[in-house]
Amino acid sequence: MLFSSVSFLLFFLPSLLAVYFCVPRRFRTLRNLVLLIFSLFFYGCGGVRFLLLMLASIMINYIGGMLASLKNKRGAKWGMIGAVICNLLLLGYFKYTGFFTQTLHSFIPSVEVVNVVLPIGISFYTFQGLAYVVDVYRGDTRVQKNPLWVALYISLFPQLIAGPIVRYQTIADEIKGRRENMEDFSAGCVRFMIGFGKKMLLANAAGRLADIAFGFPSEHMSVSFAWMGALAYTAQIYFDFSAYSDMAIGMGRMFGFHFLENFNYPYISKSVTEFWRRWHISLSSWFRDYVYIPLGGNRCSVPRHMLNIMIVWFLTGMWHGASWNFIIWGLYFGIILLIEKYLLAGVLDRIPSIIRHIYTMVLVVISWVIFRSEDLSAVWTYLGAMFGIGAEGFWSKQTVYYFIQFYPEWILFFICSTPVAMVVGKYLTTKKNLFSGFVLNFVPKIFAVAVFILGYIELVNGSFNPFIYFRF
Amino acid sequence: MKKVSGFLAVICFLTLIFSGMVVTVAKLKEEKSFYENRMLDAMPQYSEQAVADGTYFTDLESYLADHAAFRYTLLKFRTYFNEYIIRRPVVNNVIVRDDILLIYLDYCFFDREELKEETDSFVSELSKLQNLVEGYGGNYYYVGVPCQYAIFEDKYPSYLENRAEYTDEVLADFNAAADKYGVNFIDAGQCKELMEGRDIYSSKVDNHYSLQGAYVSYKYIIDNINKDTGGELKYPADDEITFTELKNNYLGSSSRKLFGITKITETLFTAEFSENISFTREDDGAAGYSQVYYPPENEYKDVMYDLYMCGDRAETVIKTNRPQLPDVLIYGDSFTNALECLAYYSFDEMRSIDLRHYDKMSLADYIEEYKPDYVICIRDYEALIKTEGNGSPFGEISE
Repeated sequence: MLFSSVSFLLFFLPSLLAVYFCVPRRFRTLRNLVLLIFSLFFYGCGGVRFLLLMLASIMINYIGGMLASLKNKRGAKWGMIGAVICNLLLLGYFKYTGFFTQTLHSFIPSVEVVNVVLPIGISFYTFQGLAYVVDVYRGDTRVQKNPLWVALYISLFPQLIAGPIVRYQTIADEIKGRRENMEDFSAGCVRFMIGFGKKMLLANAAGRLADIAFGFPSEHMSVSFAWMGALAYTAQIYFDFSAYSDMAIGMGRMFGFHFLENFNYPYISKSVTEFWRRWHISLSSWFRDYVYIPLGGNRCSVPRHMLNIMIVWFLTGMWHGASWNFIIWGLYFGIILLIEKYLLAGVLDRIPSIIRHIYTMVLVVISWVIFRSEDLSAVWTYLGAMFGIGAEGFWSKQTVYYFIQFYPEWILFFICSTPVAMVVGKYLTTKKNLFSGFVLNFVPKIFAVAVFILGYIELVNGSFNPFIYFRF
Repeated sequence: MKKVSGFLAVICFLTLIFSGMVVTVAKLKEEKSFYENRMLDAMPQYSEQAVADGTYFTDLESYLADHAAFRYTLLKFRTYFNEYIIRRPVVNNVIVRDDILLIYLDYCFFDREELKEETDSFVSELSKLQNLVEGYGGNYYYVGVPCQYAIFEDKYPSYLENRAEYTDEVLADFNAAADKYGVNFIDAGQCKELMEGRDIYSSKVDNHYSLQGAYVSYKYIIDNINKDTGGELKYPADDEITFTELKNNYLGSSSRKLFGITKITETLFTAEFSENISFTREDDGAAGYSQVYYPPENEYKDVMYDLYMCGDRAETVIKTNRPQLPDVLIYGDSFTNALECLAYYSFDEMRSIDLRHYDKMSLADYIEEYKPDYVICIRDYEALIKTEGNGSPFGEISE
């Protein structure tokens, strides 16, 4: 079930709100059970067999957590390792079997290609489960002895299928002791409505443009059109994913949970290193805490540090998808980060910020082309077209049309990628008068309701509604 | 102020989602969407398998999306917003110009050699059909009529596709192939009167020609047939036909896609011959009313192109009981409809089939059974070499 679907928006969410808030606050356990049941139903809508798989994952992590909390250090270690292996085996089987057998098949044709259907959100809930068990083992968080609350943590529907990857310690206390209130509920509603509007009005429009460009006959593609398509995908992936995070964070707040932010205006970055501090923060910090630092981080020799970074980025690529594109995409970022760390350190700071910004965005846009293309040959063809190799001229009527047709969206892509609203908000905060107070308090809410209504219009208008991050 | 604004935001949000739920549930479940010209999704059938693999909820979502609260009103609002506020050049797949609504065409890339081969192969099939007709002494003609985008090529903005290059190429190939195989091809686009009087003869809100355009095309076709056969097929002269304008607003395919929200309006015409020709009509084997025009009940209702012949029918037979005149079979897409309203003038019996709907036998078998004196295929430029539907005279008939 998608957040941006009629069944979710007009049926699932109102029903859940009605049932949940009918239960008095003092019956916390009952409220949690309501959330759990609705979350399982939410996931089960994608196919009951996948629900069984998620329940198995919950079971593994519950037992793994219990073992990892044993006072016997050896037993705890093996408990943690066992849970990690089981999690990775599940993820490996469902996500990578097809890729590995396909790769083997290309070398040894007698190996049969096995196609396994990828359960929605497995990458997200597996990483959450892993984080829980490891944190318990490390003593960073207390073990949860009630399996229902482990189930609630892993299956909590707002962040279940497309993140953000929530650490158990972030919501451990809130599972048992949160206090829902009007302020949180209101902030959650506003955040949800803005996320919904962002998804329907910006991400989907950008997606239509990107699909047209990436599906366009490469021999007829002009340089400008190739760049337009790449920029459209750059907009799509950001607005799509950040919209989902907005909705997840917003709904979390409605029910009293406070998830951490997942994006911080990544497209204003002035280096790729900064970009990754602002993009998909929950994933970057997960890899930092559970892979990079355990490997030794930067407290080791330079070659070892470089190896650590490349391992992390190889795994980041693999996490995003079982295909060579994603691996190359991950390694691409690994190499750029190494270059920035060891060759450009100090150099970038001396360059005018506009140049640094352009440098960053060009590299990011190229990375999204690698990410979006169907296969490696499509990557080279598309990148070639962007740089004039095999392109049909520089300018084309398609470029003109898609810029004119989608001109409101292009303007909004630009504005909404930057913290304009935040800057205006900060400015108004300094003006302590009635007008600024009114604007600060009412305008964001009016805006949220308006984009929510416009988003709903888009929802009923079309079936073009895919969430990119569901495939991870 | 923060509390008040927050409270109001919550009220708005909850009102929207709860009223959305109530209205969607309570809303009368329509089966068809008139403006979209399609059937709406039906409630999915429950099955354990569908629930297990998730298809049940996917189908349920499609159903709910089709019946969502305020859908129709919001779609109209969206159309208005895009057309008049944002002023997008293309709205709901319609290019909105100041004086005309044009069909949006996908960017067209084609390989000249492949197109030539495709056309050759298509015409080669037609030659077999023509041989069949000529085998019993009949005459076969394949007629290409220019549709709106071909007539108003110059009205397309330079950055949008008008298929001019493709149209020129396919017509040149078709003519060459027709010469090669001896197929009788009449290109109504060569009719000067039709092209020069395009403001009258072609619709501005639809892909079809007007009734007057059909009349001009028909005269051109008959003139060419007579020139070819030396025959004396008759059509009503200009002073033997009277066109009458309906008061109803014409909702063409383009204006319909825009939910009727457009400043460009048009009306339709009916025609009356000075000579009274009585006839009987059968549709799909059943006797029908002796009429070829089907206007709305009153002048306030929109009229559509199905004014002519009551729209696309699988089979229609019109008998004028004038045995001295030849019989004709006309087949083709919806461009036949307006033309048929006039064509029965020239024939004793006029049969009309549309292979997109007719499924009793193939066209070839139909011709074998009835052996009409003339077989005329009417296809617009867009469908000129399309092999599906009316482009499949020997194949199994399906759409």
